[in-house]
Amino acid sequence: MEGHDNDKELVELYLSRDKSAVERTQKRYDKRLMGLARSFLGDIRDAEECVNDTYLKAWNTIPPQQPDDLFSYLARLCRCTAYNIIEKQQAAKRRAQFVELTRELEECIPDKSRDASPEDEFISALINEYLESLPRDKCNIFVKRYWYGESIEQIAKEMGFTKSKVKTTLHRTREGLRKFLERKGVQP
Amino acid sequence: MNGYDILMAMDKTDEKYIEMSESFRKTACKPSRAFKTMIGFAAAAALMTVTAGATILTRFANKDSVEKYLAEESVNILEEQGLALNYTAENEHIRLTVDAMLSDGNLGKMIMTLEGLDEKGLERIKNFDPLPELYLADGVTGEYIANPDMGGAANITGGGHVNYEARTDTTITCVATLDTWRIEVGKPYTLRFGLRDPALPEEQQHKRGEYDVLTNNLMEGISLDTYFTPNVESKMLKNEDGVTVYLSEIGLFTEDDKLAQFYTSKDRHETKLTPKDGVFGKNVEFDHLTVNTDPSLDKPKTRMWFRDVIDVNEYGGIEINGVKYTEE
Repeated sequence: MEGHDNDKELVELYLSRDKSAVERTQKRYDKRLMGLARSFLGDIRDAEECVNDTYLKAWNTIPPQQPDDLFSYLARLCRCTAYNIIEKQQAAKRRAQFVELTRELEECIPDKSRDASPEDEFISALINEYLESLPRDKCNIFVKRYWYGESIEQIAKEMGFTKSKVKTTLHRTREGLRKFLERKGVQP
Repeated sequence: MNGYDILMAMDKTDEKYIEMSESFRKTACKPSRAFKTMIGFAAAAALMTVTAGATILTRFANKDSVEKYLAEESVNILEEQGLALNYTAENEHIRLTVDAMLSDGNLGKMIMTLEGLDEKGLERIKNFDPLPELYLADGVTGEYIANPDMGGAANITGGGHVNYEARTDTTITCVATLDTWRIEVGKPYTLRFGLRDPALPEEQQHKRGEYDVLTNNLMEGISLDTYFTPNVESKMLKNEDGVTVYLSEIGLFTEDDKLAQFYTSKDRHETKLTPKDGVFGKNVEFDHLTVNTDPSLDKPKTRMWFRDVIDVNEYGGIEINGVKYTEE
C-alpha cells in the first residue's frame, strides 16, 4: 500500500544516513506532527521546538530502530518530547487542554491509589490490557483523546459521531478503566 | 498517583492501538441531513471528495477474502475512499469483522467476515449458510426497532450473498444488502447480529416477543454502533419526463410508479450504465433487486444493489428499458 511503501523509502534513507531523510520526513509529516504537538503545547514556538527535536531524535535513533509505521514512531517521539517540555514549564503556562486531559484521567484512578507512587510499567501494561478489551470505536476514541490529545470536536468529526456521543463514550470508558484497575489490584 | 501519571503511562500504549486509531477515519458526512433530501446526497458526494483526499488510506484486514467477492477495482475504490472499516467484535463462538459498511441513504451494503472461535462457531461456518441476520436497535435505549417491511421484525437484511470461495479453514466472508431507506440518518443505532445454533431443533428456535430475534444466537452480544450516514457517492438522474432515479456506488433507488411496475414485470430488460466517455452502455450486474409497493407507502420503493462498487463519476447516466436517465 502507498502509505507503507513511502515509509519504507523514508526509513531506508535514515538507515543509509542520507541527509535528505529529515527534509523528506518534514515534508510528509510536519503538519500532522505540529497538530499533535499543539494538542499538548499552547505556545506555537514550543510546538515548533518539540517537532524539531522529534526529527533530531528520529535521526539519532534510526538505526537501530527500523519502524514499520514511521508516523506512529515519530508521533511517539513527539509526544514524549512534548511532555518533557511540559514538565519544565511552570504550571501556569501549561495548556488548558493538557490540564483538562489530566483532570479527566483523574477519574480513572482507583480511590485507594490516590496517594500511591505509580509504577509506570505496571500501569502501562494494564492500560494496554484494558484497551484490548474495548470495542474498536471506544478504543479509538480513548486513544485519540488521551494519546493524540485531540479535542472532542475533532474526534467527533473524524469518527462521524456527535460530540455528545464522544463525551459519553469517554466518560464510560474512563469509568471502565477505573473499575478495571481496581479489579487488577492497583493499590497504594 | 494522579491524572498526569495515567497520561504518562499511556506513553507506552501498544503501537497497534496508536496505528489503528490514527488510520481510522469515518468518511461519513455530518449526521444532520434528512435522508430523503437529494441535496444531502450532493453534499455527501462533495464531502466525500474533500474527505477522501485528506483521509489516510485504510486497508482491508481480510483483503484476500473481500477480493473474492468484489472486483479489484471495487476494492481499490473502497480503500482509496477510506471505507475499509475493519471493525471487530466477538463472543466465545464467533469473531465478526465488518470489513466495510456502505450506505447511500437508501441502500446499504455490509461486507463482513466471520471467524469461528470454538467448535460451535467453526461448525456453523463450515456446514451451514453463515449469513447472519441483522437486527436494528435504538442506539440510545437499546430497544429493537420494528421493520414494517418484515412484518414487525427488527431485521433489516434486504438480502445477501455468501461467497464460498472466500473461505479459509476458520473464516468466511459474506455480503449483506440492507434496506436503509426507512432509517433516520443521523440517529444513533445499534446493529446486532443473529446466527442460529444448528444444534438446536427448529421448534426450539422461537421468536422473542414481536421482533423475531433469535433466542439461541451464536452471535449474542456482538453489535455495531452506527449512524448509517451516507458514505458513498451518489447522483440524481432524470429522464425527459422528469422521472428521478438515484445512482450510487452501490446501487439504484427510485420511487417512480412506472419503474416499479417495470422491475416487477417478467419482461424487464437489463439496466445499463452509460460511460461518460463512451457510447455503448454497460450492463449492470446486480446482487439483489426488490420492489416494495405496499399501499401504506406514499410511493413505491425500488432498490437494486450492484454486485460491485462502481465509480459514479465514470458514468453519465443510466438506461432502463431503453429510456435514458442523465444528470441535469
